[in-house]
Amino acid sequence: MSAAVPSMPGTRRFALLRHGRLLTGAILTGALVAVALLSLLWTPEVPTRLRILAKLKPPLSEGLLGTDQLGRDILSLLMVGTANSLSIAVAAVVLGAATGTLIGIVAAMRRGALDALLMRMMDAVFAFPPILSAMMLSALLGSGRLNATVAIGLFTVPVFARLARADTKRILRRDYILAARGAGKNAARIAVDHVLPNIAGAILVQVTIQLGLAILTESGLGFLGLSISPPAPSLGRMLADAQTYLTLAPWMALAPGITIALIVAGFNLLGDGLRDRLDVRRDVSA
Amino acid sequence: MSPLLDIRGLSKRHPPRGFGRGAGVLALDDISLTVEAGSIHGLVGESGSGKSTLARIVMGFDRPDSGTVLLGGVDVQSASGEALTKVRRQMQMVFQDPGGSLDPRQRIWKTVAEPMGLLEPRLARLQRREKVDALLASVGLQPADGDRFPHEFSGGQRQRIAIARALSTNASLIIADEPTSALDLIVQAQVLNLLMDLQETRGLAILFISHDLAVVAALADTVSILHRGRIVETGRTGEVFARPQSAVTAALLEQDAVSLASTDQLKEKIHYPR
Repeated sequence: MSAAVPSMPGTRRFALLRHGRLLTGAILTGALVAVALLSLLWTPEVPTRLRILAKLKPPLSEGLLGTDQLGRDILSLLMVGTANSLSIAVAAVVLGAATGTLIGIVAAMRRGALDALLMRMMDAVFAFPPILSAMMLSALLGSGRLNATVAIGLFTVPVFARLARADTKRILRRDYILAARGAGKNAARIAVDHVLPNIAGAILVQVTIQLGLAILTESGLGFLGLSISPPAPSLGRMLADAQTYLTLAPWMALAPGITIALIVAGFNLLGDGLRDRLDVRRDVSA
Repeated sequence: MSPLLDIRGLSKRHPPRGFGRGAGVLALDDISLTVEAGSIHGLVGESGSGKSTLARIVMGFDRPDSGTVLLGGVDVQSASGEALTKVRRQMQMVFQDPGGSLDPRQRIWKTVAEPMGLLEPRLARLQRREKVDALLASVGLQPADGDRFPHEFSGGQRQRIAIARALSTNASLIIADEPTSALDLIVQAQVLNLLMDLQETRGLAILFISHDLAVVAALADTVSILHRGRIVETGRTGEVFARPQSAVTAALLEQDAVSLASTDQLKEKIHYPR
């Protein structure tokens, strides 16, 4: 019976794995976002409350995940820190995606000198690592939430500009664009009616992947003290604090480290899964 | 009576590839042809002879180096504003590949309604939909099909949708660039049938571009033979095919002898009203 279709079980397991990626990513990201939202309403302890007498307690002896060098509850710090990191990452990527997509579409549709100018500007931005541009920005603006958001957002602009430009160029070669011109639509209408819907899938996948990267960058900035200002908790600064006590209290480093890894993995899985789901070639060529 | 479409002395040189040495390729060399209202004019040529370039210039998508295209006496290239809207309303195109000429992310009815903006910019959604339903019916599709997406249709159905879109402004001229070459023979006959029906009932003129002599012989009233960017022969279809004056036409006919023999088969499938 099964000899007739020997490849079936394997194929199905593979399909399950692929769908599993989307599902795992969605669950992971969903859970972390839920925890972050919960932290706005409730945390086990006030995260900024210092209890010197209960400092450096290991997990379960004092709170679920122990305490840090100032006796702050690590779980509470982690929850609020996740919320802070996520909000910065989301704001930065949304900003970068909107700006970059707009630049990419304009460059592809206007072509010529404007295209060259915009894309060389993107190259210039891309040449600076986000950590470096954040350090330069903090020299200008001082450190803080806004600074981190702008720095990370700026770094994602070229990514989206390049993607949007390449995809727009591909779409503009299609005959339905000519048909739209023949129907009297101007460039702006064509961009909104035809280009944007056809590149939206690829942009969305890239947004998800960039969110993972943005979290990583934000943690790096926090580690260097360039992100959200103390005493507001951030995952990166928790890691920086933990460095000194690494042998004495390794849980201080493990908790934020594992959280960052989970967020990044969640967004990457979600992005991969979405790519598989959305990249079905709908524009069937006869 | 002056012709509906009047192409005069059209020339177009494609820019050279690479580092700009050489003069480029002369895609169209002093093309002149006319299409009478309500008639089908076949434009025949092998691939690379400049057929699609001509179609793009006539539609106003590309600019010629020299020459003019007159539609109902209006210069297509220099028309702007109200005149351009009128030109576009009168002239619509059916593309070769219906897979690429329909936006995959747009419901069919929106695609079909797209050129209606030329007709009445402020037409209400409901009225547009009613018009689309009628158009879909006239090309042999169901009104309910309007809510579906292009990938849900076969190649022949997609080309019907593209034809419905071209009809949505009550155009008097359809430029059809190899509209059936992406379709298999039976579907091809159905689509040709539809085009001929529409030509009869709506008094449409069609500039029918093809490399397929059999199809042109079955369909066109008059024909022009395009070779390397030049028109080598033009005249009534029957006469040109029976007594070719140019060596190119004769060679094409010889090449296509097998295919021309199948014209009779094709004619059987097409009901051929005249």
